[in-house]
Amino acid sequence: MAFSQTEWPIPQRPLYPVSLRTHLHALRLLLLQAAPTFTDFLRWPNREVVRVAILRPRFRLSGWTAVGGSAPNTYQIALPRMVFTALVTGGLFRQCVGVKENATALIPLGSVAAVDAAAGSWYWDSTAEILYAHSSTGSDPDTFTVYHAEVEFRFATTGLVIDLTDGVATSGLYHHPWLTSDVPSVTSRIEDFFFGQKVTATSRITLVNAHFLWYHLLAPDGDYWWPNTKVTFYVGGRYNGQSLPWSQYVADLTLEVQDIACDDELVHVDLKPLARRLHLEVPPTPYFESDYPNLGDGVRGTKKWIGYGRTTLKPDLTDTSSSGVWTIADAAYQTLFAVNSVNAVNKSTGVLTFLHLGIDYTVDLTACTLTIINPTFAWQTYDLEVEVTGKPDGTGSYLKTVGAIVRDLLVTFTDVTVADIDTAAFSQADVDAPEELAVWVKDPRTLSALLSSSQPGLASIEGSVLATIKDSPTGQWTIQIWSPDYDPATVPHLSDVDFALFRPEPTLESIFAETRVYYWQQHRTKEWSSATHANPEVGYLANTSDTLERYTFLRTTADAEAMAQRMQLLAGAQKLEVEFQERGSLLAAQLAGDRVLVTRNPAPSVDGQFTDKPFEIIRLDRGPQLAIAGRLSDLRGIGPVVAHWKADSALAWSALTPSERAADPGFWCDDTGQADSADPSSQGVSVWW
Amino acid sequence: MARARFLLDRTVTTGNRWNAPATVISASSSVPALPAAASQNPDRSYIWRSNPSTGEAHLRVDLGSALAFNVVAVANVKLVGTGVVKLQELGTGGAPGAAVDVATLPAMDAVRKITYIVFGSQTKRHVQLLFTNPTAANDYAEAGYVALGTYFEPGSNFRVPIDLPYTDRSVPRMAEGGQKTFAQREPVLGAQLQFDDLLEADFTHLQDLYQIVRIGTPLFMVLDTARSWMNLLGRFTGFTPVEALAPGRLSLSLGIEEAL
Repeated sequence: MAFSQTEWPIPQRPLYPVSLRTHLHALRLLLLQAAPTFTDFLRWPNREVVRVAILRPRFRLSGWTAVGGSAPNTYQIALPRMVFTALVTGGLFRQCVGVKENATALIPLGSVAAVDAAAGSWYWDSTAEILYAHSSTGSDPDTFTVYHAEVEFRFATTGLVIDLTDGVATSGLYHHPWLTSDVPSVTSRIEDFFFGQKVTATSRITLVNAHFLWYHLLAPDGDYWWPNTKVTFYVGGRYNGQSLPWSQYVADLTLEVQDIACDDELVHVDLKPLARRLHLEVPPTPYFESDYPNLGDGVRGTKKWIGYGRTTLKPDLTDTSSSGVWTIADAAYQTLFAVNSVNAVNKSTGVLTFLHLGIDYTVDLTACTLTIINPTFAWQTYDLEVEVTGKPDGTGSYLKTVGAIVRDLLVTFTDVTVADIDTAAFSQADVDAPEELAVWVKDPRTLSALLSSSQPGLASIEGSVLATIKDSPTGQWTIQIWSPDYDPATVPHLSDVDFALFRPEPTLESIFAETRVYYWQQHRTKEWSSATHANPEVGYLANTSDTLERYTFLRTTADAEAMAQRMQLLAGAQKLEVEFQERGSLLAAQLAGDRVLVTRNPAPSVDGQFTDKPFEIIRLDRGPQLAIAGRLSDLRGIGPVVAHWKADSALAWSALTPSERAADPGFWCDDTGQADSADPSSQGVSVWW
Repeated sequence: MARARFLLDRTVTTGNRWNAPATVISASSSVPALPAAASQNPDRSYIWRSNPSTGEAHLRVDLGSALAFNVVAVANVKLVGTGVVKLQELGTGGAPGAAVDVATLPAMDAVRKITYIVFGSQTKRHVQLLFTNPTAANDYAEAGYVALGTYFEPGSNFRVPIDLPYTDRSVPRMAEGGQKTFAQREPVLGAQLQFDDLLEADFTHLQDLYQIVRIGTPLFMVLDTARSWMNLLGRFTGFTPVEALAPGRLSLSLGIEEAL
């Protein structure tokens, strides 16, 4: 509504006192001001970013005393909550968040009585500053190799008090401003389809060595131990006169301490990604005469099989003193679900002879061994070929899907505990990727290579089902199965005003006309089966006859054929990648692999603009003060092609504009693959994923 | 205009009584991670917080012996309900006696977040800050850094009018179209206090003060008793003596900045 110079509204005399009006205005503002949220914080154009670092060293405990009386099974030790009070006026708050008996975590409980009733438990009375523990055997904790507490120290980039439980004043905790501004810059990246997300972070952070306190914390003759302990970084802050409550702070990185040292001014903390622990080698156990005095030829020094799912392999001859005892897998790490069939392979002729259980051989599923009892098939003349089903799942079946297998690998072969696993994500992965896998390993590989490797001849678990295994910002292991799907209602939207840099870079690399998926490896003969899918049109348009070859742990022809089709769709598409920098921090809570919708004009599109075009974040750089940059991919060039279910009222192909067609697929096609039988350009616009 | 006051005397032992080595501090109650001793820490953000209750809360110190004081200043105060914060003395004996009001602190300045009050000199051993709760609200008290002691006021004031620039270190990021997003920082008040022709004794006093606190330790500074926003918890940033023309006089350029 516009006013001319003679038409300005005449100020009206207020009908109530000014002071009341002021109070009402303030009350109106109070009612209108919503509770602060991280989402609003990211969107606010003027905000103070606060980083919180939570360090969790181990603290050695010794000098326990029996509680006695009504708690005969419980021991106690003083564990003050405010420490270094002589160095820091007011002290430094130290919270006990865990107790371990050697390598075993005790269960936290809420009272002395509860601890006394449960072996292997602990309770920290923070008011009385006493730690109580009931050891696994009931004996004095001092009789064990070591008892240690996991304690927590919290620091921030600015000094502030945060209620750890929103709105509960007694939970207030001061975060000393000792975290310098150079917190880790984090890059979250998907290397390639068949690699998982790779998180790299600058390897060092610094803290202020206020009051020389860290000389005490890092004393080599002290009780604090730092190597391989976790450091979690949270981000939050203040905006619009409000402080984010702790529940709105977001964990954006968890690393482990590689090393830590300090000088008079600063504490230098070298950090490593959790994924570093995947560099260990599997299988772990070699054969030597000390354990197997009668090893067969060629077995010495080789590794024992580990395995999941059904496969066919040649077991290891581990006892030649009789007709032969063959070891199928490493009983230290698993049992077997079943030995399905056994063939004797004549060493001279290669002829296979089916063997009968109980007549020709016996099986010990717990020891993972097979014993030949029929001298006809003694080891001198015959090798064996065994079809075996690997590690049971404990519920009457066996581990065979990606989530179940990866979870077991992490828990069995690393120091990852069940608490470190995002159980829901792993269960969802088994739903999203129900393909049965056969993961049997004898030749040494790192666990990281087993999970994600594109080396010819070597299968990877991620590459078998388009999985991404990653450590979450909170330090849990999680998994995701790639699909071109997304929920438009939940993914973030970016538009022109959100970009400080938007640089499309059409990528014409890695286009293949054909994809070959290798599956169902026969371990005895080293042979693979394969399924191939070709797209001649791509070959002609891209002038290529290159074949993408992927080795997988898939077992069935149907699964391999489906995967070949999917991989070819991805490998044969022209892709668009965009290098970008955000003005704000709308993507601060995202990770590589997440989706974002982009609206921009101009843009490399048939109609010259993007309208809610779906992109995948393939690299995300989070710098200081939540500076966000990275790289987007247009869902590998196939996003608009994969169909989505739509409402019955959705418009048909012929009623949509070109940009609408491109942005919102989901068209049933006729037998020739056209969404509109009268429009040849509608050929292949929708595919079934 | 009253002259500038520095709310710390020149030696440590007669400086801030509140956090002197001999002082023993206690409180009516404290939440587990925000103890009474936090009010002795010059880091003003490290606060003491009482447990929520419907009663009054207090922070109490035993100075170890009867000591003189005529000013109290508190940073980052949170009152209980609609109450106020009072300074009370509890006598000179070995144990605290009955509480007697000394002064009621004015409302904390919303920008500088400090409050202070000057009163007739007291020589007592036991002192407390009492947070009243006239409506029995279920609430809690907070206090950041506390200074209790005597103040120093040079015989001549700094040169006026004075510039008090704010430094805003917020960092902008700009979109292609010019829209900006800021990584916000708290603005910091600073100033260069120019003292002309100070008596040598006053100069020496300020020099001794500077030698104790240097540029690291915050202290309360009153620049204008009539304007609460000009009184701050700050630090010295520089100390530059200038020889004056008049005999027995020295000039001084004293840099200060607010301690956040």
